[in-house]
Amino acid sequence: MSSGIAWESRLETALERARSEDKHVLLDFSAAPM
Amino acid sequence: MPVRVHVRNQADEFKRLGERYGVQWTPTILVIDSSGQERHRVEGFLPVQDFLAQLELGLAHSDFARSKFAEAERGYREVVKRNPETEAAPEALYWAGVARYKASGDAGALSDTAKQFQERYQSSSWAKKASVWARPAQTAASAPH
Repeated sequence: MSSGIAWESRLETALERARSEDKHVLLDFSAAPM
Repeated sequence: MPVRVHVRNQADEFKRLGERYGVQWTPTILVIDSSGQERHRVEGFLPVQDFLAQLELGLAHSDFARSKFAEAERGYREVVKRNPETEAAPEALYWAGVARYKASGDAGALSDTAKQFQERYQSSSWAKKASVWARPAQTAASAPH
């Protein structure tokens, strides 16, 4: 089942976007079925 | 910006980031500021409302850590207002008092917080922590004349 969230897989990419948009990153360490 | 690393499907990335942030268990969810600094951590599953409250708490913690105390206080009070039944609420109430004190230098912010904890969340560890801020109750002997 899709969560509807556009998950990024690279932290560095997300941090770059976070810096440009003054946002935070939510980093999920998961073992849930994908 | 949501990032997910999976323990099996992305084993190398999971190991790399897990070592960087000292992650020992799944699920672990981190709120990270744009400099890469961890500001809040949630370990284990939570019901949706509790989880959302933790994320809001993490954002307020991030403001606090960057000395944006007025913004942090607003964030903490929103956590209490929007999620009063969650475990995040008493923690947020505690830190709202600290943030107000940091912003104003007024120790009354702390004693007011202790007073609020006498009326709600009495059994929480945060109430115990705040109890040291309580003004001593006036007795007949100590009351000003």
